[in-house]
Amino acid sequence: MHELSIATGIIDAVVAEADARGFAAVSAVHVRLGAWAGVDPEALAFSFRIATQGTMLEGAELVVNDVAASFICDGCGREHRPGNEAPVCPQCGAPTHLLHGRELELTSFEAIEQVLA
Amino acid sequence: MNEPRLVEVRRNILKENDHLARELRQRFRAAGVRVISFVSSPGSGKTTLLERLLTIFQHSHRVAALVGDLATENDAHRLSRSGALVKQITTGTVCHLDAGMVERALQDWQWQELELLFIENVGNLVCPSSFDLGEDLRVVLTSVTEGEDKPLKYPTIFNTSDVAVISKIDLALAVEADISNLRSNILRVRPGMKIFELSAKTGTGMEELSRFLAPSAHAEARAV
Repeated sequence: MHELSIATGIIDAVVAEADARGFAAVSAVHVRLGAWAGVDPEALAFSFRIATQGTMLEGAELVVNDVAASFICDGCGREHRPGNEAPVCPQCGAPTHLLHGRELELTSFEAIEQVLA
Repeated sequence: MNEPRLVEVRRNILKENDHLARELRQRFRAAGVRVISFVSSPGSGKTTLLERLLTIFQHSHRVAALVGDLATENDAHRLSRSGALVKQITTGTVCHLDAGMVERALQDWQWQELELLFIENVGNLVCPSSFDLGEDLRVVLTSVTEGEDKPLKYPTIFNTSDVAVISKIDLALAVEADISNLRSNILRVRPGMKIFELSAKTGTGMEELSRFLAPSAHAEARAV
């Protein structure tokens, strides 16, 4: 299940940033996930919960912002969002290519600073 | 009690496999090895096709193959009959090959000396679409016996492949398959996709495909 390796990738990226800035714990992580990224949001959330145990992200909430797939027509330039059907331009019938939808981005995280004694 | 602070990052998370696949792709290209992978559901004819292709290319090129299955070395044995170097990757429970498996399988080969490397993926129309292997070209097979609407049901594997092969065309009449309908379904899912129709068994269509796959041919159909 590759969602686990993605969760680990997210956690490693957050830990690197949080450590560098002296944070003690992370309470939330925000990601943008494209509908065509090939990642199941529930499987990702599940993997995240498991993989954060014992780390500074333990208990952190994973907030997933879905990015709908949208295609742009190679012919007329019109952007459209398909359902599950083939991505051909509804306006002129020409082939289209993916504009948005494969994103997998760590956008931001919320963390608590070290309390200095 | 400290209030949480929001930290902007905006960093792309690439799956670990994508990192490795990109690295592998660079290494393959630097060494001049053309890598072609094959995906399809189980029983579409990948191994038979590969056996024919290896036999054809053996005479003129330094060619080898990697083949993935959950269990058995059967496919490697079959492919070795061509005389080419073949290695089996048994994945155990994993339903697809990934870049790590390919890299490890190549470790004890002088693969840099190859001109052509074929990779036969585990028979599966779903999972392999998420795993880049570092290949130059990905070929998806669908046979005339599987149903003309399969491309519509499994769009992702067609969208993430470069070229399609309609296999077992010698059986089309027997199963009353409408090949032109299958072709148009493939093109609905991936407009402009290059499609080859063949029978590895009878040899029909094999020459066109081998000319296209040969290292000297242009890779026009490369996916963006």
